[in-house]
This record gives sequence, structure tokens and C-alpha cells, in this order.
Amino acid sequence: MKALAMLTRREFWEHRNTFVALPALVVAVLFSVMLLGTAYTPPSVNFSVQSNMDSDGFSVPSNIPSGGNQQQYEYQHDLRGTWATLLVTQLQATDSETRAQYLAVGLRTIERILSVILYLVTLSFLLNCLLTDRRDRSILFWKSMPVSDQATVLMKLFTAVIAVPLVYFAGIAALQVSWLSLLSLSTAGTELSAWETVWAPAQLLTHWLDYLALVLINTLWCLPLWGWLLLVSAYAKSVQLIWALGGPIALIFVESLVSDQGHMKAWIMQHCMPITSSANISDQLLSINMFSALIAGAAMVGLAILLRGRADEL
Amino acid sequence: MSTVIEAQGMSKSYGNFNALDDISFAVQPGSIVGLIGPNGAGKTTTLKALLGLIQFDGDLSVLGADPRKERHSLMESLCFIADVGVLPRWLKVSNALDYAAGVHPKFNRQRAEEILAATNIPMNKRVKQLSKGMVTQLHLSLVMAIDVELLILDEPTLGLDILYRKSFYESLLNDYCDKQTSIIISTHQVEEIESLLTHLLFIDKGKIILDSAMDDLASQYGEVLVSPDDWVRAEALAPIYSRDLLGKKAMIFEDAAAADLAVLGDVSVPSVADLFVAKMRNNGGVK
Repeated sequence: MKALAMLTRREFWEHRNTFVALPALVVAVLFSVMLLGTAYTPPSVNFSVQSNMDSDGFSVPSNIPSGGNQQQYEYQHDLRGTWATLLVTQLQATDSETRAQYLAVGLRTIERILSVILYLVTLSFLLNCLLTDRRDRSILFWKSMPVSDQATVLMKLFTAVIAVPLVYFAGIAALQVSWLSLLSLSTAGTELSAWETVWAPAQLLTHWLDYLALVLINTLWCLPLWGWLLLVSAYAKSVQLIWALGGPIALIFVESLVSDQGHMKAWIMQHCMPITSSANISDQLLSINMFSALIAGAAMVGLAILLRGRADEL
Repeated sequence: MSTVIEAQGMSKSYGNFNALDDISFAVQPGSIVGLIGPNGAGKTTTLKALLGLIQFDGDLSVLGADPRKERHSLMESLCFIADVGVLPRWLKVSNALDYAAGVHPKFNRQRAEEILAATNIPMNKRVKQLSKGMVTQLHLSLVMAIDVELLILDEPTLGLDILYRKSFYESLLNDYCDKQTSIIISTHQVEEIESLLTHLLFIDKGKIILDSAMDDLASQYGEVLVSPDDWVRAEALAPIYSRDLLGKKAMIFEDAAAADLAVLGDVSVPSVADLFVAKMRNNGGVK
């Protein structure tokens, strides 16, 4: 156990910049933007509160200055103060369900920004992790230690899809709490209750549990992607990106020659993208689609372990 | 303790090139073996085979295990230092100790810290900030803090200046002389390690061309400085090597009767370097 933990720590030493410094920087920048936005007093603004839901369950940001709308007139007398005050006032004026949807947009936006960065960091890490040490010859050092090839490859996978997402989660959580705190501050000195307008409808804990569940689900759902990248990383001597893209493209091309159904193409596209919403998740988890992803992914991870066992300096 | 390394008919080819051509040898506990050969002779291939880093044909047992199948457990009892530059450049000195302590059950952290304290390597520097000599010292410090049965060194001092080379071998000798650790050192800087060795393995073109204990060299090889008057008689004994020296010829003989050689002059044991050159020339190697 101690040895396995060390294998993850070692990845954080090597990739400190992308695993820790980058999310910290993004959090700092977003927080500054929030702070400026909160303190900013718009000269004159017309608010409209809408709860239009778009197709994937996200409500359209409703603090867009708009030209004319029935609700606009209803709340017009409240439109004085900073963005945050305006926001809170708007929240206060709506029913609790709308409030929750409204806050969810903000919370999800924070999640999305960091998740996109995390996704790119994960792809880049997995694509290079079994190649760079062959290139710089440090594989001779790593392999001189009593660490099995299974442990090496599996802990790299664990680091990429569990450990690093948890670090990014810490950033997300910190930023979400900061945002809600800034909103709460705006309720100070008014008769509005911070708990009722901000914290209760935000359902922060539900958001967090949702995010953590998705991390675990995507470990499995995207296993073909993770496995493929590890395999390329263990096999390629150079141009790993071309290998990584070329493989699936070739498969899709071959499929298009023999069939116009596009099953393979659809399957590949699906498992390249992490699931971002836990709605109807159980249907997906218990599908043949998921089962096939697990088998294909596990096979590729296994192959990567085998190649790692035979790997030498380049 | 049984034989440390037992190699039988090991072969390895890369395309048409035979890196190892059916080689067999054995290493006994406590011996310090010099694996000596010119560039491309198969030294590194042999060592990589011992470490389980490459696949090959033939039988090999290292500390009772097949390195192709059991590298992971084998590395608990075996340490390896390649020529400078295999420590990852981003690794901090203190992290190198953390890592070894984390994954190696036989690593003694306190001992490593003591050894490092005697050098001028700062704990908070990264490998890329150290000189080549310091990196080698660091790696040796890690290795000396691990209680192993077999130590494999592949050109450990390549590219280092003479001061570091000397101190490297001094530390090695002082640390291991009273242990039962077996050591294999590959190098082509023969002179520097000659006094350390208990065994010699010469390798050329993928074949072992000499396999002998240092103590047995005297009974098998003799070097005589022959005066011009005795040249004809000496040539009749088929010297394996002859070179001009101050108007005489220094000749090396293999398996010649001691009495025959004594007639020609004072018989000495050839230096490893001279013996190496003699063997290589006979093998159609260095001219």
C-alpha cells in the first residue's frame, strides 16, 4: 500500500505544474474575475428572470441585460447595487426551484471550466506517461526498483483518472464555496437570508456528490480511451499523437467501407467523451455498451502492461 | 549461498546483428567481475538481460530467478547503476530518497542520508541542477543504502572526470569489500578497476573470449620481455601478442610451460589492459 501511494506521489512530483499549479492558477484567476464582477456596479441594467431550460438541462444565464420582458417590469425597482446584490435580489424574488436552477448554472459553469482543463491534462498525461521515461532513459532507474509493471501502469491510470480529478475537485469546491460566499456577503445588511436565498437552493453537497460519482463512472465509461492512450504511450517511439488519432480514424474508415451503420464510430465517439450528467445514469451503466467498453478498455490496459514489461530505453 | 548468476547459451539478435551469440558464464557469491569489451561487444545487452530489461533465447538464472519473468521481485536483491543520466532530471534529491524508501523494502534511509551528508549534494536540488559527477554520487548513495546480493554497474563512470572516477571506486570498494555482495562492472576503462576485480570476463562480438579468476591468470598467461637473440625461440612458443618495447619485444603467452618461458627472461602476469588488447587482436578485433 505504501509503495502504491508512492507511485502516485511520484507522478505528482513530476507533473506538479499540470496537476496542481495549473488548477490553482485557474481557480485564482476565476476567483479574481468573480471578485471584480461582484464589486462592479453596473450603471443601469435591465434584468429579466427567465428559467428557460435548454436541451441538456442547463438554464440559460438569466442575468443578461435584455430589451423587454414581462418580468423585467416586475423587479425593476430592485435594480440598484453591484452585480452580486442584483443577483441576490433576483434570487430572492423567484421561487425556490428557479433559484436552484439559477445557482446550478453558476456552479456547473465552474465545474465545466475546470473539467475541460482536467480532460486535456488527463489525455496528455496518459499519452506520454509510458513514453517520456523511455526517451530520457530514466526507465532504467524506474525498472531498477522492485515495482511490478502492473503496479506501474495501473497506478498511472489511477493517478490520471482518480487522484488528479480529486485535486481538481478541491479547486472546484473551493471556487463554488467562494462564489456562494460572495453572494452571501451581498445579503448582509438587508432583510434577505443568506441561507434561504443562496446556500439552501445551491444544494452544494448534491453537486459535489454528483461530481464525485461522475469521476468514478467516467473511469469506467472512458476506459477504452484511457486504455488506448496508455497502449499508444507504451508502444510508440515517437509521434504518439498521430498513433493516438490514427488508430480510431483507421477503424472508423474501415468500418465505413464494409458497413454504413456506423456502430463502431458511434461507440468510439461515445467513449471518448466523459459523461457530464448523472441523469439516467443507471441505464447507461447497465448497458451492453458499458460492458463492451470495460472489456475493450481492460484489454488495452493489459496490453500496455505487457508492453511495459518489455520496454527498454529508446 | 549458491551461484549468483548462471547463464547457459544466451543469444540475442537485433535484425541480422548478433548482439549475444550463445554465451555461457557463471558468477559466484562475493566475486567482483569485470565485464570488459570494446563498444558494441554486447556488454550492455548482457547486463540488460540480467536485469530483465530485454527478451533473449537461452537459459538464465539470476539469484535463482528468471529475470524475464520475475524482474519485480529480483530487484529487491539486485541494484543497478547505468552510465550517468538515468535518474530523472526533474527528481529532487530528497524525493529520490522518499521514493526509494517508499518502494524498496531493503532501503535504509538513514544510511543514505549519512552517505549523502559526506558529499556536497544539496537535498533540495533537482537532478538537472547537479553535475554529472554528483548525479552518479547520488545514485551510488541510494544503491549503497540498499542491502543487496548483486550489484550491476554499466559503465558507471563514463563521462566523469578523474577525481569523481577515483572517489566512485574508492567508495564502492570501502563499502562492499567486507560484504558478500557480488558485483559486475562493465567498462572499457580497464586500468581503473583492475585492482578491484576477482574475475574477468572479456566479451567481443557477442562471444565470451576470456572467462577467468584473476588468481588463475598467472597460471595461464605469462608476459616476458624478450631480447632480440631469443625472438626466434620465443616465436616458436606462439605468443598471442607481441609489441616492441625499448628494443625488445614484450610477448604474452597463453598456456605455455613455465619452464619454457623462464628461459626467455623474467615472467610476469600481463596487465588486464595488455591481455585485453592481446585477446581482442586474436579475435580479429582492434588492430
